[in-house]
Amino acid sequence: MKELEKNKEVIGRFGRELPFKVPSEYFEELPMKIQSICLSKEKEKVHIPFLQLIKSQLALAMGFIILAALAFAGYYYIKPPSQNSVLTNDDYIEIVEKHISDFDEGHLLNAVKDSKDTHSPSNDLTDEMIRYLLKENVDYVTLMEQY
Amino acid sequence: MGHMSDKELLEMFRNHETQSYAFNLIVRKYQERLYWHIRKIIICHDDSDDVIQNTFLKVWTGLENFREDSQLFTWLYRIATNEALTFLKKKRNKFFLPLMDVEQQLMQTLETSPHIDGNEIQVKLQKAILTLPEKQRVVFNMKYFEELKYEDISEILGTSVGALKASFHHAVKKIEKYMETD
Repeated sequence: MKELEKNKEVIGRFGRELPFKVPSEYFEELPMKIQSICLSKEKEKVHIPFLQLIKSQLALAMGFIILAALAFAGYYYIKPPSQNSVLTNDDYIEIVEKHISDFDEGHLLNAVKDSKDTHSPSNDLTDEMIRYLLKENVDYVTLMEQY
Repeated sequence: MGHMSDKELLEMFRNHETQSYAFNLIVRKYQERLYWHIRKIIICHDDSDDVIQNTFLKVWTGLENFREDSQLFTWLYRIATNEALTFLKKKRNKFFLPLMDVEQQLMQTLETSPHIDGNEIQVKLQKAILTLPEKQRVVFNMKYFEELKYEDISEILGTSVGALKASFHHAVKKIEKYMETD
């Protein structure tokens, strides 16, 4: 309360009058001025085409697309050709022929043996047929001669 | 029409047919209070004129979304205060002026502007207010000249009532001290 009294004392001493003034009829003209500014802004807002509004976003999206296309093209251009081609049997034969000195005979024989040992569905069928003929005691040669 | 309440004006504004008219009434109702509030911060009439126009332009664009969580006049005051402080901040940044130089410029305006018309004590009081920190100046103006309630000032500035009371008390002490010097 003491502070409040003191503040009132200060106000009493200096007053609440302001030393400012405005041009004559300022407050009579101000609403019209404000209204016209607001309406002109409103018109500006209405007339902005949609494309103009999303121009920056569109440019950004285009930038990304170009960048992605460049990256994609660059990757396939730089990538070594061995990665995207499949070697055929002829290619292997050609390689072996060209670099025959790099291969030793034993190594090649082992490789041929390994390739024969590889598991395939036709091998399984033959094994099964042999097992059947042995089990049933059928002579395959006689059978073939008869038919 | 001068007796319309804020609630009635807002209802009128929400109706598209009467929107412009309602806005005009809002401007007429609050223009003087807001102008003087801005003028006390900016001092210069021409700058205050720009700021009041920007304030009402913001009001025009934002009023549709005003949800009446606060009173209309505190919302208007908040926009006006922000616009005025932003104006001073831009002025500082534009001319790379240190904090005190804008206040020095405002003091010069008090002495030379054709739109200043007061006695020596009134001008000296304005100079004393210009020595205060920006926010303290706003608090002092709202309490001393406009006699707003602390609760309303708190809503406008987003500061607690206790902090506002302390701020006003410090401001009064500084101004008294300034006024005592010749």
